Amino acid sequence: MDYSDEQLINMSIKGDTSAFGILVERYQNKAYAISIKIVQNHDDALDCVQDSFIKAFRNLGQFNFQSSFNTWLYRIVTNSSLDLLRKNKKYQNDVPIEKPLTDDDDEYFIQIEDEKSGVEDIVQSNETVLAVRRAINELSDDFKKVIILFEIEQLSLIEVSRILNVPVGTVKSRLFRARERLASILKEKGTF
Amino acid sequence: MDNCRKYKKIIHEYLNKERSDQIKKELDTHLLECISCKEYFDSMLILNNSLKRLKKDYTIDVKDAVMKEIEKQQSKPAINRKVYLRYAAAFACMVVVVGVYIMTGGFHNIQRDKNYNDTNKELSEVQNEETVFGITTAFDFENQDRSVLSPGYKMNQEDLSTYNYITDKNYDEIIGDITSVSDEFLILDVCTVTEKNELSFISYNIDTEKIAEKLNLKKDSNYKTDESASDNNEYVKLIIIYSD
Repeated sequence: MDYSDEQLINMSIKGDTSAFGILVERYQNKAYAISIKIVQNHDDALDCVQDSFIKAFRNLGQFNFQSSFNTWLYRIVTNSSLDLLRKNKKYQNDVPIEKPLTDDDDEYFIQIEDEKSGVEDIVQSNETVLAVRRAINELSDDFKKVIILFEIEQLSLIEVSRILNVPVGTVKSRLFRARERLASILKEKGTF
Repeated sequence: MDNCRKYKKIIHEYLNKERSDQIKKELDTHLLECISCKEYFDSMLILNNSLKRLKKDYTIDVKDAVMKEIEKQQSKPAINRKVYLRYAAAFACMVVVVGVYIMTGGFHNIQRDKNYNDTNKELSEVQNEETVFGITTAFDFENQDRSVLSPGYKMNQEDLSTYNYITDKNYDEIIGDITSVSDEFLILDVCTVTEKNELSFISYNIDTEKIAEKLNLKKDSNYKTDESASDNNEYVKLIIIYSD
């Protein structure tokens, strides 16, 4: 039987931890995808995801079902990841511009799968995407969050608004300014 | 220019997937005519596509680790964190209360008999030596338990002089004045608040008069002994030691 999130939450609250395990299975990949974009390190992202699920479990009793479980979870993941990022100063400028791409970057590396493009286009495109990735690191937390959640993870404006707990209008204005800031950084770097 | 501003907004709405195809057609028409908007649109589109390419599907498995941690936390002793914190807070309060009780002479009654003779001896020594070394030299009031001089304690009254004064000042003003002269006098205690602003000084030397003068106090003709004062909350009693 396919339980809804709400049913699983109620079962978990009543002591059925295996129900919570189903929720973990359901949302762990997306949670990781959000975290890795922020912390940009596999181990830290895994830690953040684990911690976020444990925090969620501990506070299940306070979950009021006014938003969906995944929205609530992604908010915890986003905040935990940003907290970790702030704590680990080393990640603030984690990808030096000069640093060549290595296999270590694979966890967060971009897969170019445009079959129509030639090798040259792929390399060029690859460089642009990498430059964009670096530029994201230079954004403020607020801008970073909307770019990751809306542009990269392609959540809806309403979902982003619920995760960040801000009005949709605020999400839109942050997106506007974040895109302009990214474009400005990329122009400075000569990418655009 | 205003038109471009309008289309800039439309470009972002288009990127937000808020715009219909009809609006897109209108935008396309404008982009054919306006190079500036076309460049802006192109840069935003490249950015948008690059950001989309950053999306990657991941497959991780943290379920076992999460469930293990949850089980570990659940298997901890029944006493939960909140209860533990309550016990900790209660214990901390108890420590503070006991500490304050001890520090403020709460155990004084218990120790009084034991220390009575010793303290009197100390006070006598203080009195004897203050004329030579000053009271702070003979008895380190800064670091000693001041409760030995609290009014509830039976000091050797014969060795002390008690003076009553009247003043028009209120309590705060008196305390302010005391602060202003406290470099010269070591104020050990302010015991009670008076409605009549009558003061009783217990001092070790005759310089009480000097203090009274500094504080602009007048002698009270209705003399009160220290014993009567202790049962009466109607006046402030200061224990003042002349420091040098």
